[in-house]
Amino acid sequence: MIRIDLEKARPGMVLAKPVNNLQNMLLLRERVELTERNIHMLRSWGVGEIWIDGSHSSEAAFPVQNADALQEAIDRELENRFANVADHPLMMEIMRLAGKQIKRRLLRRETEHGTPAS
Amino acid sequence: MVPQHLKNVIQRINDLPTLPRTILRISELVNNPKTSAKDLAKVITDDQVLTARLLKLVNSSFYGFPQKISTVTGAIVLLGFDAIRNLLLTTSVFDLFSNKYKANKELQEKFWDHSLGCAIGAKAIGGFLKSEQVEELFVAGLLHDIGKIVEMMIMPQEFEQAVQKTRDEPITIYQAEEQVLGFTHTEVGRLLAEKWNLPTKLSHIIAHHHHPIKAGRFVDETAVVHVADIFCRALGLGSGGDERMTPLDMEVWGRFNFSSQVIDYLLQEIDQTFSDISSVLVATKAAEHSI
Repeated sequence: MIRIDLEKARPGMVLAKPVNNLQNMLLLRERVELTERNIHMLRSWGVGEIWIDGSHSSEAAFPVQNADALQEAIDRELENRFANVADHPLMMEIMRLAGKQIKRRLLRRETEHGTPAS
Repeated sequence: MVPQHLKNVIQRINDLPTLPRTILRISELVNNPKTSAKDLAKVITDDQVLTARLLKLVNSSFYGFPQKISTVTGAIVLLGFDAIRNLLLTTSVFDLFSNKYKANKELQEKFWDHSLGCAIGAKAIGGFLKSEQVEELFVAGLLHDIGKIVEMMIMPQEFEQAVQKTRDEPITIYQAEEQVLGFTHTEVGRLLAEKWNLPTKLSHIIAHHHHPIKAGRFVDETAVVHVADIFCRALGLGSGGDERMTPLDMEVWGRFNFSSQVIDYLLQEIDQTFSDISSVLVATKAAEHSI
């Protein structure tokens, strides 16, 4: 069981202790699995820290077995989108960073919904 | 002097709906630091549709508040002024045009995703720059491409022809509009902004977001929306009619000169917030349709 900042909470993590608001009203019970929605809800209640099971990090929650295929698909898509600015070094850097973020998004979605990240 | 080719557009813009007065009033109140939750609640509760929408939203499963929120004041206290204003403005603008353009639903939905992404992007960039006008930037991002929606409504065939051209040739929608229509969404958007009596700043941003340097005293705000547009295109958040990058104006980029680390941070922020807000809008629509 570890205590983390709510900012570091990610879908798939499991609460090790119940979460209450400042008025001590129960917001989420122990053993509840976090989702985008309930993390957002906790944020809107001003919750700062939560207790979760194990030693999750956001990366640990991502399955990575299809990482190469996923990267290729993202690269192909971005190369098409950026074809008209391919001679511009800054745009190429934006393309690289966007690719990184799209990969994070797809892996997160896969973790949340169990759907293939493609 | 209005160019001849735009006269026909102006005539047809006059038939389009106007933005609800309540929304404009809410925007004014939120911008005023002296406004209390009670003042804001009074304006919202005068409008039954907005009141119902707000209460449905805060009681939707998205927020998952454990107790029922039955008053507008309660909702304002929970969500905050800015969130309330953004939410009501966003859903109102969406409503104004939804179901009016039936020819190509998919194109319209992608367009709204792009607008929302750009709104979130402009706010994120503004927040990073410690701008005091982040909410204005959100609205500017939301409405920057509004001229395209007008084109979709009043000249759907020609607009689709322009979209098709971006698939057949290596050009952006802006260039395709110039070739097919003889004008672009930036000019049409400005005409609509004038009809809606939107603030001059907003009208300038809409008119110059592809060439921010021409935005005169509003060049900074326009530059933020310009860069937000590029970030959203890069992330593939919706589509403004083409699937291409619009050229980055290096003259205004020099004002920001974001490092790779900052660009990475902003892209993450925009992408994550987009997922969250899209869920809210879906939750609102679902709640409204369930009545």
